[in-house]
Amino acid sequence: MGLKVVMLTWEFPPRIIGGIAPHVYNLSINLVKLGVEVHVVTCDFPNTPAYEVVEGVEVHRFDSYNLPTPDFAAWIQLMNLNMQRAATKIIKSKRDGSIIIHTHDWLSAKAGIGLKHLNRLPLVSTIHATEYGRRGGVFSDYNRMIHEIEVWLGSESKRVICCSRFMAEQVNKVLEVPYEKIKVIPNGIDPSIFTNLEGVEDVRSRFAGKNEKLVLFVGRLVVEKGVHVLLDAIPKVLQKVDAKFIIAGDGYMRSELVKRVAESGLAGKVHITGYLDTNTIRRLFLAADVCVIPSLYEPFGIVALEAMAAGCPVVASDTGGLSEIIEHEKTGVKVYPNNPDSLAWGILRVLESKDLVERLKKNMREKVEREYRWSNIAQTTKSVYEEALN
Amino acid sequence: MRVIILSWEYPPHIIGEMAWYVRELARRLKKEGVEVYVLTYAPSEEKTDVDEGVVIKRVKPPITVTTNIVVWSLLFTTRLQAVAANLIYKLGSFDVVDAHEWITVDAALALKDRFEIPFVYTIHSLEKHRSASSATPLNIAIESVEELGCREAECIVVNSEWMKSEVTSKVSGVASKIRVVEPYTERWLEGVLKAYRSV
Repeated sequence: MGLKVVMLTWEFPPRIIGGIAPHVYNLSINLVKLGVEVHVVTCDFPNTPAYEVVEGVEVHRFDSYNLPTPDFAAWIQLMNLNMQRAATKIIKSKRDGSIIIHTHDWLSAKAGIGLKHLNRLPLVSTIHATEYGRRGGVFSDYNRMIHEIEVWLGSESKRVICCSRFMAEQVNKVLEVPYEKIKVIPNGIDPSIFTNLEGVEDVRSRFAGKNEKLVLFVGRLVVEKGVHVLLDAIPKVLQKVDAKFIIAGDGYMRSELVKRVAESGLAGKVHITGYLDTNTIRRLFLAADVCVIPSLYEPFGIVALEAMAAGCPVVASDTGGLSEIIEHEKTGVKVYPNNPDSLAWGILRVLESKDLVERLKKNMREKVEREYRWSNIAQTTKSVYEEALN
Repeated sequence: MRVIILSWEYPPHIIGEMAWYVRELARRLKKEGVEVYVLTYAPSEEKTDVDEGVVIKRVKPPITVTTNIVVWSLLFTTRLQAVAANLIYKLGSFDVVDAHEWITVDAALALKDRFEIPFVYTIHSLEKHRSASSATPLNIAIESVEELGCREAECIVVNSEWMKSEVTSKVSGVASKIRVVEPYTERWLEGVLKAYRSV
């Protein structure tokens, strides 16, 4: 009988909180194309049905707030209790064939591990990020609790999927998962989301003047994304090239960044937009002359893939997953992390060299097609399932 | 008859009266010819003990941080589920899971859902008694687990008429499945066995 997977995720479109929802969505629809029967078990969301089939994926939504509490970590575990109940019903109705339990991050660890033991089924987990990495260490009891859940998930999983070699190393060192169990499978991108988009010029003229180059940052406004480093680099770029810097995203640093822009007299050249809708963001990727990713910590760097798929040259910190996606002066420009001089150099390198831009565009489109297609990622994931079953 | 008793307290891990209650109940059940497996908390190493014929599986929680009792207990019960599942795969199914207090409700529910083993919920006290004037996020969570246990259990065992009225005033529509069994009396065991046989 065919391969079946019960996919446990606390977010699935249209409930989108972070990167797990789009990841699981794309992975699931592409697994279905390979003949895998996919059951996504996920939290309910206003105006969505308890059961629906989305591009062949069976989506089961359960009542995730019937055991309410304002304590997030406690709610997560109670949500897992409900998730496990919903998944048990599905598994009991499918006793034929091979079933894999696939869970994503500590958020659905409990349900995955419970189902593994109760049904004697192999557990595969994807660790998208670690608490240690997010916080730069383990400092409080709360951190440690989540960290210990991640260690537990790693030890209970037959296979652990990470999105980059950087994350694989962290999962090995910090969560003590042996390399034999870890498989690196990158995130994917569907380049067709950037084809035949109308209104790119309108978006460009909305954000930048005719003679200004458009420099784009997309991401949460938090320390690890390094926007403050970009602000320090901007005057150095403006000495040589006229440009508009669009900083799209929101986060706890926003008011501080806005204040810094005003104080430094850059208000006419830097626009902190706040959260922008997907349609505008996609057009900005197409309109921009360069996309800047000055991250200090980046498990993968999905923004780099989006920019590359849109044909927008990337200047990125040589750190984490970005180091693996970008090949210097071949598919992008790498700069030293947390170094405004280096970042300014990288931005100018792209803005001042037409030859380089042409080369980058050609190479990065090829790389996206070759390495980051969801169909390939689903194929590799399927082979991990097959390994876990043996 | 074969029974799994879930209790996070069991000698020598003693928080209150419940540890002694569960040990005495398990011993008396065993004397009556019931096969009894107690799954409880292991303060240090996981191990199996046998006490007067009662098999005691001491189970270690997967995390050491105890500042959030709800998270801690729900991860402990995932380990309880795993140990219980191992027993079931090895020995065959059980007739009853007797879960003591809210802490073990999650495990009893998972075993009921997966293996269709009837769930008896023994309530010694309620969160509103233990934390009378407190309504922190964790108190709220514990109360919601107590309510879930009352709704999902096939039978609820309490030790007094007063506790029965406390439970029914908190959770409506469950009065008919509550049994009052006074512990340590001559009719204690008979009452418990009746509760087990009723499900």
